[in-house]
Amino acid sequence: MDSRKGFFVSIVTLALALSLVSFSMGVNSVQNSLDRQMVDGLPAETAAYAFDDVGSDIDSFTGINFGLARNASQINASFGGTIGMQRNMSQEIAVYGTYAADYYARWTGANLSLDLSNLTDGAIEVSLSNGLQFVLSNQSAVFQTVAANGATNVTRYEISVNVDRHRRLATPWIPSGGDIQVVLRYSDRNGSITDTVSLSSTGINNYVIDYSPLDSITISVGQNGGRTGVLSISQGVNVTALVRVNASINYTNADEVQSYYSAFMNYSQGGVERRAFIEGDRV
Amino acid sequence: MKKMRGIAISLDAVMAVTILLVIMAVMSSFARPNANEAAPLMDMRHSEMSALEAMEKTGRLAQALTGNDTAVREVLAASEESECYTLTVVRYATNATALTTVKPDCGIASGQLVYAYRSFAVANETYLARMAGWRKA
Repeated sequence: MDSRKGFFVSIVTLALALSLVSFSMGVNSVQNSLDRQMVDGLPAETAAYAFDDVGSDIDSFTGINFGLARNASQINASFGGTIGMQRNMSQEIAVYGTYAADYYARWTGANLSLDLSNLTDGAIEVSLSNGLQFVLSNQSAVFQTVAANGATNVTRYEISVNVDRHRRLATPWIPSGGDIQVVLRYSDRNGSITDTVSLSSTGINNYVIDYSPLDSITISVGQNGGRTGVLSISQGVNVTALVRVNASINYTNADEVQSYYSAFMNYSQGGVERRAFIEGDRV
Repeated sequence: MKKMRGIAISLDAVMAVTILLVIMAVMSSFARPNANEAAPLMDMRHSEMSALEAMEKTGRLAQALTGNDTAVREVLAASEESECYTLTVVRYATNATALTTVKPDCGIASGQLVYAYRSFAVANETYLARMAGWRKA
């Protein structure tokens, strides 16, 4: 009889212990359950938020801050960055890719991977869905079209350049008249230069500022590599310049225009999946 | 008589386990959020996401890292009276906490916490901001 009593006590004790373990696991999973509910409840926002978050970070690293606005006949694009930098941006962006896929994904409960290979090859591209493109490298900042023999259809460039050096010589554009109005605001340790000219989109128009026999900034507007209306701001050999540009572009097409980095993100969380380029503005 | 005692012991054990299971089921139903409870918490998470995005894009998070977190505190203080938030910023390179701020009059976090995150970069360093929200008791 004692052995039977012991058996019952053992069974009851085991049942109690299992129940308590089960209960503890249930309570511990409440936060996870809630997190899932909140992700499921905000599917579009959660994915869009993550893409915007990563895009903002890439903007911070590159300093490009590509912006778009639009009216009935034109698109206004603003972009910039630093050329002749004394830092390795490719390496920094590669480290960021590891951070996003590991640290950021772990904390946010998402599963994501970033293909940043097009941003870590020495040039960072921001493309527009209508074929225009801004390419920032350590040597130059170029606004062009990817279509061979294509035209940017830019009607006006407003260019700001800042250099922290003493100038030796400035050789301005030769005003030739043309279809692109250019406003240049240039500043360095010698002071500011403001120049407003009209230049031909099919000509080769250079503004050169020398800092030493080897060091200079060249601002080119016009034809470049068979394309027209291209803007190129380049440095050689060792000049650091902070650049900001506003470009007005003829565009009467009804199609939407969107900017995006040449960086691809695979994202999934709580049943939400999105595979897309890191996008910017949409106008 | 012995048979009766055995039955009593068995019934006692069954009743004890049953009562325990009922108590735990009732407690679980209180602890587990249902759809109605999740809705306001989703609103809170939405608010956190919006606040973090705004604080990044207006430079408030970057400014807070310089030691001046006034602008960040203003955002937390502007939230609903019944909501409490704490903001923590961690520097990725060192995994060290760079900033912790709590909404005034909120004390220690309690109850169901709602989290949102925002990554941002300052001076080529990556940081992760985490907001935890809860409702005042």
